[in-house]
Amino acid sequence: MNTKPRLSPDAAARRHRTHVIVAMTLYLVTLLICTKLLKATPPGALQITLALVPTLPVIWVMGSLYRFLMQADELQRRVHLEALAVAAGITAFFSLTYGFLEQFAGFPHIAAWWTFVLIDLVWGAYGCVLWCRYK
Amino acid sequence: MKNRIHVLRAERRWTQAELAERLNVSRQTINALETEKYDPSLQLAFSISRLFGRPMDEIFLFEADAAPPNP
Repeated sequence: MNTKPRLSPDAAARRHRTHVIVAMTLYLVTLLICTKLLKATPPGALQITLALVPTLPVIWVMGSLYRFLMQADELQRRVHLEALAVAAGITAFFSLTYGFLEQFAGFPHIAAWWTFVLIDLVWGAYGCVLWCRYK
Repeated sequence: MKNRIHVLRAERRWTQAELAERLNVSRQTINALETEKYDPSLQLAFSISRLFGRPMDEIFLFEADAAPPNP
């Protein structure tokens, strides 16, 4: 049985913010290290492992976000999920449009991980806009 | 929808943070409720009504009811 006391929505938000800051710092550090190491790593299992290491902090963020949303109050949940829905829609539209331009109109290739960056940027920006609306 | 949450909270000399803790919501949510920028769910409205010991229609006022009657 889970006997952990339930956090208040404010405390859950603070904890999630701390996790995001620590995890994203770890993400940048592992990204820099792995990018350097990958230049001198021959193709194989080690190369695949090194390429995937920066995704570990992202998994942590996703877990933290899920726990936060389970403890958030109705307005916090509404803001986050509305911002996520808008970010997912914009990212999906951009990916599809640019995919066509890349394949049929000779536009330069963009790596798939940019979708992660785009969805996060739009999510954060739209979340701020929504919070300003409720202030 | 209009509400009297700010008045009822002030009568009890509670801060927004104290009210948020009693209702298990964030302080931002209390602020959004008091500034009438967010309408609570039915469940939260019941919790607010129970906490202040007042019927819901004394705390929340639908805009159409709040408007002065036509002459």
